[in-house]
Amino acid sequence: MRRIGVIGSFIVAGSLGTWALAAPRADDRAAAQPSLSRQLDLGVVAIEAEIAGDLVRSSGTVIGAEDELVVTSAHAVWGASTIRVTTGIGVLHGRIVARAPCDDLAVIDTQPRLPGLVALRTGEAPAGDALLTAIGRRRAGPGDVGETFVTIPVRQASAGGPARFDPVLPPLADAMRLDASIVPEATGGPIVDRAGRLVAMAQVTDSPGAARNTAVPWRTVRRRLDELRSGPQRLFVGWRSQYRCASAMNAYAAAGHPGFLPGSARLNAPVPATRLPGTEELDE
Amino acid sequence: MTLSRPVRVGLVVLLLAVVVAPAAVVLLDDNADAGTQALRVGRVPSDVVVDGNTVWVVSGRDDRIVTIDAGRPDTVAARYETGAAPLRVAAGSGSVWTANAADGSVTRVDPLVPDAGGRRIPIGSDAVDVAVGPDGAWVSNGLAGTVRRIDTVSNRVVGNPIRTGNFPTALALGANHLWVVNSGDGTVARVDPRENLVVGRRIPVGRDPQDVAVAFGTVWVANRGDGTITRISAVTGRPIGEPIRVGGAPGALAATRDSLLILDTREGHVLELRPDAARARRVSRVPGFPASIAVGAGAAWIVDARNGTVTRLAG
Repeated sequence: MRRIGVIGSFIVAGSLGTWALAAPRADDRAAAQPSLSRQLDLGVVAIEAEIAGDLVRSSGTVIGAEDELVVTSAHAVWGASTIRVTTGIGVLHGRIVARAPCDDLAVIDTQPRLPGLVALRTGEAPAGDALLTAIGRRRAGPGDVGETFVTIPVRQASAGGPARFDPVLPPLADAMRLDASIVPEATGGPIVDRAGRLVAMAQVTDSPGAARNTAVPWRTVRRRLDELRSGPQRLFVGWRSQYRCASAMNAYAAAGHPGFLPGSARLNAPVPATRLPGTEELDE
Repeated sequence: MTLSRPVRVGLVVLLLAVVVAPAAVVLLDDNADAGTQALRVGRVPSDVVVDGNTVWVVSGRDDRIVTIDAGRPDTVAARYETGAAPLRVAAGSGSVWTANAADGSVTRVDPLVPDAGGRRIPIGSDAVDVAVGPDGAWVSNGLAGTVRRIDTVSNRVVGNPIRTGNFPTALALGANHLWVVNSGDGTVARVDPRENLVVGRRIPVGRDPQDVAVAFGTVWVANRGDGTITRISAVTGRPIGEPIRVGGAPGALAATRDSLLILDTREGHVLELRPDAARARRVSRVPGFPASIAVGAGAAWIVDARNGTVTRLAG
């Protein structure tokens, strides 16, 4: 009988343990913290923008996991007629919902909503010559997922301050120089410290004469993002003062893409419906 | 005290039952509610449709569709190649169709020819969602602000793009019209599928509309941004009453015989809304990151792209 009791105790304890493991938790999303590599897979995206018929590749960083928002370099999507965003949960369609041309930032909304993206943990850029990693992403074919990331070891060469990184684009108000070049496809992508924390965002162009070793500290990007407020239909407002730099961004796009027209860079232009002649004004 | 042999056997059986019962629950259901079963399907399943007894799931990272026999849902029945990064799937005209996000194409798959590539139909624009009806297959084009029609006989895009609004995404066919959700400007456009024209005013709906369904003489729109469901008369195209608040982030819809199922893609709740009811009723909860829902073969099927699962929710 004692033997049965002992065995029974083990069985009940094991059973309760199994039950406890299987029981739903209050917040199973928060509890399921993915590994560092999975966080990068879910938090770094590849962006393909078609601008005046040219394909422009860049990277981006997920900033709102619940809202499926991505921040990237504005110059890489300015005037795009198509934006494709490759994420760890599929290729999605992008729409610009906020732009800051003076700071070369754009916020992209991804459609359709597929929950599961991850915003990277953030931190301060370490002082001195601590090793950092610039991460970019490029869409690849099936089975090539592991090969789509570009990782470039870099160190901070100079601390934040004003810096010109492209001959045409306005200088960045707060940028840091790195000791190595970053490929243009990694622009908009994160620069992380050894713990995988997001400390800066790469800002490089492929223009002749451009400095390809520039990044913006994440605290500066975050401060700018915090200015945004919800606007109509998921657009964001708060960056009106940035539009003084729109002409420079137009000039950059026109120099790189001969077919570019400034009208194609209008944000959220209304789309008139296809209707019977004479009823076109019905929605107004 | 000495227990008789039958009593001892009974105790052991009871203890074993205590052990085995939760283990069985773990095997069949590691979810929040009873009556659910999570199946691992593909690498990134982002959408699901049920046709007869077959469940079709798109797997974006594999560039393929996989099927499950609803009667034996523990195994993948067949695989079909598609275009690059399929996101959405629809069934109709004897075929299954995928909207392929990465190459701006639609793939038409013949269910009778598994393990083969379907017919790839270039759209000339983004392919966001696809719907199929007697007048053709329809594809929404996102940033272009248009939908395009595919002739299901010639498998070609026909006619000019139809401008519907800002960033059209979800599509549904019903009540002799194509209903297009313009996620960019928060409206729904009603398209005459024979004339290729938008009919009447575009109907304002809630914030960040994500899905549309036509059932019970009503067009239902899931507004993910403000947690509401907008009802539109399928006959007049006018809103019916105030939007129904369901809370959370309603991101996907599916109609059963007598009600509408709403998937809250933030909290994982599945809600039921009867056609004449003013409030939705919570019926289940799916853990993880549920993205899309379909109904058929006596169950609801919910895909989770991040975890690579399809959850069967018994009817």
